[in-house]
Amino acid sequence: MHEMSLSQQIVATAVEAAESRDGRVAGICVEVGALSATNVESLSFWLEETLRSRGLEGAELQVQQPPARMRCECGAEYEAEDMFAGCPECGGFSRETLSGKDVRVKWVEVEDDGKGED
Amino acid sequence: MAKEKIDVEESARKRNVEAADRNREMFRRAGVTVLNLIGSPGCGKTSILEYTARECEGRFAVVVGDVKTALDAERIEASGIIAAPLETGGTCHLTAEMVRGAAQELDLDEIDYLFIENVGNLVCPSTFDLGEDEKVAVVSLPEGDDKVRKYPSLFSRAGMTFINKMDLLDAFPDYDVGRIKSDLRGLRSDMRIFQTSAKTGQGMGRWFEYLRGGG
Repeated sequence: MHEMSLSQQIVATAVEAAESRDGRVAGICVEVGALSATNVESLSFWLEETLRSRGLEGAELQVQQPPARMRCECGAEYEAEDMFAGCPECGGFSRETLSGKDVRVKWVEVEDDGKGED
Repeated sequence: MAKEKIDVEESARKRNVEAADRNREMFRRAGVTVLNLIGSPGCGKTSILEYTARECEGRFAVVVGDVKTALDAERIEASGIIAAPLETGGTCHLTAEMVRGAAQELDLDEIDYLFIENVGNLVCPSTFDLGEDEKVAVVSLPEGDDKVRKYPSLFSRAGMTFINKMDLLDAFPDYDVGRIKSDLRGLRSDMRIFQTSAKTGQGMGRWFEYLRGGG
């Protein structure tokens, strides 16, 4: 259920970016980390609902799901889809997560909001 | 104006992360160590804190999150430590801002440990940083020994795990303590594991040693 609060934050960030250019949100690209404990289907549903509630229906949604990046204590860096993937070099589980835990707004597409002077 | 793409590169959790950093600074200044307890409803989070309050010397306080009621806060307070209730009103996890509000009700200079009892849930609370020093996972025997595999998000972020209700081992002979421990160590080789019963006190001594040792 935390997808709802994530989507509100994402749309707020997008609206802020659009308003800084005196425009409206035409598209949002979101990156959902493989280890972010986020259900993409639920997030997409809530993003659409949140956009609709703010009069932004029709804005294009892109959701990217890159694998996580890990660095093993043996020095190897590797990609992982979940936390159960050990190091492909040494099989170890003592590793640092470099990326994949976060949900990020990558970019926002902005169009004229129709309120301009021209 | 034509369509324009703006690079944002901003975390959707930014607001909570910023609030968590403010909490961390507030706790650091007061010299308080903060532990965020996360586990299913009924796994024994409140019982562990009650037993700790009764049997372990220390300056503790608890922030108790529940969707509805202050029942757990009342239980904990009856066992002798200060408890600030936090009713989330439907939200399935605590956020850093909620914790800040509750923690400000406490005299942080008078305590060494603040326990945050999160909403009973193995999923959502795991991704919300509250400004704690460590997340503490709690599982119990009746839940089954597969929880680590099913909810890796929590266990990969927790530095300690309680395997609670060990007094029920005879009633749950299929529970494989070895399996859950190796799953935990597979996610985090440095995982600190406490095998406890908050009812009989079994294994609680090691937890108290940890608290007395200051980590």
